[in-house]
Amino acid sequence: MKNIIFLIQKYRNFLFFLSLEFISLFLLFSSRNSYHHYNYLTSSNSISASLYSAQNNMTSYFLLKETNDILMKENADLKNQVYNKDIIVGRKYLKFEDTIYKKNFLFKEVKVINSKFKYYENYLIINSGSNSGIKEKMGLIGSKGVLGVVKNVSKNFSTIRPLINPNFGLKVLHKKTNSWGDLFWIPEENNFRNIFVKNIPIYTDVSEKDYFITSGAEGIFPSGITIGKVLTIKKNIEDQTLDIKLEIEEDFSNSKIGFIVMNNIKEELNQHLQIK
Amino acid sequence: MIFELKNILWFFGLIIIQIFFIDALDFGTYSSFFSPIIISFFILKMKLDTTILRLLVYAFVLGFITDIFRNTLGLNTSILLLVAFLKPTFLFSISSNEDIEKDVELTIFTIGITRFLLFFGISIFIYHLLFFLLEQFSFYNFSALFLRALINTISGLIFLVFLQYVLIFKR
Repeated sequence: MKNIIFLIQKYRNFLFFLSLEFISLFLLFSSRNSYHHYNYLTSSNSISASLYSAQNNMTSYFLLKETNDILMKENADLKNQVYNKDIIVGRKYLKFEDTIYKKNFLFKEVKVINSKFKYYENYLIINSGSNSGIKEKMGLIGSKGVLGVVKNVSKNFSTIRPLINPNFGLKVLHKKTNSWGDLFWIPEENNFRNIFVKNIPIYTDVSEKDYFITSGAEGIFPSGITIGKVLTIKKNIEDQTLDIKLEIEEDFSNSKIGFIVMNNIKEELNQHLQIK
Repeated sequence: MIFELKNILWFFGLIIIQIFFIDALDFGTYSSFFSPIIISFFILKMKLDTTILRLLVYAFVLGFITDIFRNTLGLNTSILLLVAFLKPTFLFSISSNEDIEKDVELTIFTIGITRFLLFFGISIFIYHLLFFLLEQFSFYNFSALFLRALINTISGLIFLVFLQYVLIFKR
């Protein structure tokens, strides 16, 4: 017994180091697997999010001119919609009388107050949370295309998992041929401007500068929202598929405004998705 | 007393500089090469007579707060703890025991520029290498990762030298 105490005393630095290291590694790996258990230990908690929002208050003045340009463009588009009675979704016009579509989705405008785009697991923070009716797994679209999916919600802020995150997955459509593909963002090969589309059959007629759009299959986004345009095409002979690199339409380094997509009949759709 | 106050200021100052300044820098496509993590400076500059236990507690709290802000729970903490534990090893691998006074902070003015670059270079490089490896959790594309760690280390060192000339008054 005496020897054990002596041993602990002798190696107490190392033991203390080991225990702290164990705690931090435990936090690291458990937070990757079940994120919801640590709602308060993320950047959408009230203290850090309000600090980020103060930073955004300061820095947004420097971007006023660019934001103004985007807003003006958006305003023009919106006027177009009102006068033509069309709903513009991405690059596609849909008729106003399309009642199913209109009831299906509601849009709520939000501000992106923080964007991390140069790391491995990137994320965005927006300035609305559960008080504004935002729930997990809702989509976020920017002024040009898809931004991401809501991952974590607190009262007044939410964390978004953007396209440029290795855990992001979405079914996409090739606009010209309607072929289905899957989005993959591989951090070692992609940066925040591009993303891979895989599992497109090798016989599909894809050429450069073609657009890829959302399919609407999961009910997170309406179908037809732009994701990006083709940069390079590579044939994968083994799997008989095409590996396509897209240039993402939305620039994550300066996206400031976005729209949360609220699907009114998501629960009904979920039932069907589970049945198959 | 003044020393403690200074330490508290450095602690929160480094977190604020890291999160609201360095993380907010935007170099376009090459951003991932110029996003150094400099919070380990707080641990590395500590006086030599600080006990390892205290160093470990500082490292844990510092890493934890940074991790909450950066949404990488446990990542910075675990590596900062390792750096704090290995700090004497790094230091005495580049200089002998008697060279450095025990009750001064290890800054560019007290240990000289060569030793500063060697000591901080080695430790910050190890920090970045382990950080990127743990973040990626595979050895895939190791050469690119190594280069990323190297360039981040250099940019971090440049920033730290700059920071010390601005914030520390010379006697």
